[in-house]
Amino acid sequence: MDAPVGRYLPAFGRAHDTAVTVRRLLTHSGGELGWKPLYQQARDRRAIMDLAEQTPLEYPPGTRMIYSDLGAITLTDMVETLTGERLDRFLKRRLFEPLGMRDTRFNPPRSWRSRIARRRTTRRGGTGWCTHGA
Amino acid sequence: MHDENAAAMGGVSGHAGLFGTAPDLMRFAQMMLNGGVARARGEGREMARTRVTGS
Repeated sequence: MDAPVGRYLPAFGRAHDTAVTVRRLLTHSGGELGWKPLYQQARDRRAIMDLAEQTPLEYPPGTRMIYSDLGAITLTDMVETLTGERLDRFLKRRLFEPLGMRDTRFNPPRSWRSRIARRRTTRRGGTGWCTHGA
Repeated sequence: MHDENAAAMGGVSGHAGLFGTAPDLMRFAQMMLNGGVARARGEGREMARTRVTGS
């Protein structure tokens, strides 16, 4: 937990200080920027993760707490690198199935739509479903 | 849920994209209360059974 993230993700280690630890990413105090429109510059999964991991820190690790999507994306890469499994399969096998969480998953199928809360508005002012056009 | 970064990641990421139900979330929360195990044993079970506010 207190190991530098760079120990598991060498490219991250080259970009950031060893003070960015796994525990700090989990507690949103690693220095990561909260959010950034990565999708505008990177199209695929690997490129999004690389961009998130190369984004300069916003504050010195351990000095503040900023809820960070970028930190969570970095942890996603770490889990996948260490387990060799994509996050959805890893969580299904290690967490959801053992706990009997049969109604928890990524990319819910169309058949779940009637059970998914509908968004009232989007940033553009329209309405839409909460899923990624599944 | 509407998150372009998660969408660009195929809908699978640690920051967004997970869907679930209240009963499932309760199973997860109970596991946390158990001290990180599905069925509490030892110290985790003791903690869950210990009254911490008054008698």
